[in-house]
Amino acid sequence: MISWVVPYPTPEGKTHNQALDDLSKLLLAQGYEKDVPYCVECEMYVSLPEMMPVQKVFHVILDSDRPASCFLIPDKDQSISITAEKSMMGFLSKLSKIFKTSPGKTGNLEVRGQTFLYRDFCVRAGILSYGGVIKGVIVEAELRSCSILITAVELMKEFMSTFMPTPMDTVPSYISSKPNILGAMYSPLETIHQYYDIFASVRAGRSLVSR
Amino acid sequence: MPSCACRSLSIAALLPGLVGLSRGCGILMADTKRAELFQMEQMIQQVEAALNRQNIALKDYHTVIHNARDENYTAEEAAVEIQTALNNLESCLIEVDQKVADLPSSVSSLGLASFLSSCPPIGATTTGQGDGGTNAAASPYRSLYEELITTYSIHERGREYCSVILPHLSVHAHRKMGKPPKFHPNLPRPHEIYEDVSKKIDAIFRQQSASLSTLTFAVYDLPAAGVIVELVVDRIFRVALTIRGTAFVEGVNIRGSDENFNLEAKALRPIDLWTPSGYEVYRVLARNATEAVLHYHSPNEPERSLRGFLQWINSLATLFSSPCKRCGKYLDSGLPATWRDYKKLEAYHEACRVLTFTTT
Repeated sequence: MISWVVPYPTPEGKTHNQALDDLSKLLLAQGYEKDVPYCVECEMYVSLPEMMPVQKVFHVILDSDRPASCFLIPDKDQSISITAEKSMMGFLSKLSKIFKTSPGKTGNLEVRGQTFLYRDFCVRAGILSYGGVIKGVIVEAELRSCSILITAVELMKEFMSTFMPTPMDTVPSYISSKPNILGAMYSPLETIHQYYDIFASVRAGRSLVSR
Repeated sequence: MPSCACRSLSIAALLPGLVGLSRGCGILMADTKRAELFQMEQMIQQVEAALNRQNIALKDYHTVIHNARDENYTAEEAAVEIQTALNNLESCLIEVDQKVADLPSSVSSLGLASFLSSCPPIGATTTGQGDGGTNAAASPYRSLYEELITTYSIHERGREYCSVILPHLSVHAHRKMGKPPKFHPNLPRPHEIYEDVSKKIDAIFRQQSASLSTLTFAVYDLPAAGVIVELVVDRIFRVALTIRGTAFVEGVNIRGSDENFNLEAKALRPIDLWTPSGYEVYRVLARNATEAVLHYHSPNEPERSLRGFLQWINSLATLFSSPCKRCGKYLDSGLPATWRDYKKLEAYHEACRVLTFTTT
């Protein structure tokens, strides 16, 4: 179930929606089958200054492909991120006096798109929007039959080169920054971290770097 | 002697059945037949007594041998004691034989076969009669049928035991003092039937594990399914091998690392060996593995064939990390190089393998 999450470089003169449509058509032409739509949301929780002297921030990420889980990633130290049950959201709503979230989902990041299946591969392509503003196209490529990253690095590069406009030379930045996960059993939390990596750069105002 | 002992054992198994049958039949038959049956019952009891005497004689024979061995008798003393015991045993067996020889003719003279064929079928009830009448008529039939069924099952069991005991009795008949017994070459020794085959297979795998660096194995001995070895290849996928005898691979299935076979004893779910994998690459691998089992199969050298097959499985650890030898790519229509050459263990895609075969 190893996944690589990368931004898709939108060509000059095209909108992000058009780029997504082109990618979808390319995948369907290569023999992929359309599957269910998907959505990955990221909500930020900030501690209230009167409750905590030092401000604490954490992010809650929900993935429609893991409907029974929610993922909590702190802002400062990402090594203590948590995979929790969905009922954690109910628990967080009870902490509204301590942690507040931006009203009306204005500060939320969201990736919404379509899943495509081919043999043991799964490609998810969606539009990334921040507070309702479209920021880019995100592609997630998953090899469902393998759980060890290091055994399939070259294979994944070759696979992504079949639909990405530019060949993949390196692994996603999150994976290269954490060499210990290369040899470990892959978990869905690593995929969520890759999404978070992209969300953090968008929140910081950096543009999505194309590969 | 073995054939007499065999027959005596079968008669011993039959005795309770025959006694039951005679009692059951006695309820319904005429007086003359009843008298004949009574006589037969007496004969059977005499046979039973003779068999008991024979049993005692056999035990004496065994005791004599053990005593001779334990107390270090000289050869002459031991020979005399054994000769006495053997003579005693032989006379008992002859007695049993004589008594038993009369039984089949007396049984057939009763005309039991014709009597039984004239019995009403099981479950039949008379119609148009009062309840008291039918009940009185039905109950003797019921006890007769129950006894008949018991007799039949005892007879069948007796026949089965005799066929198992005969080879062992023929072995003990040849046993001599002070020398190891010469077993019949084609028959398995009794203790070999119950040998711990899984321990032997475990030892074979441990020996070969040094050269198979990517395999982690576990041997399971399941009463219903035999010996199953589960290999985990480099944590990527699992292989389940069903082994027959010591080293013959009977079947193989390959599934992903997250698809459990549930072979551990504490797993509550049922063991699932043969469901194909949910991933296409492992379904193709399972087919190739079955082909490899047949390729490496060698009836005269099972350990060598197992070793070759395990080396082949070991080479599959580079399933996702080695490109195809022929085309140089990792993927061919979505699948990695799933076949390994049987001699050089080089990686090929399914399509590239066919082309290599046809061009070389």
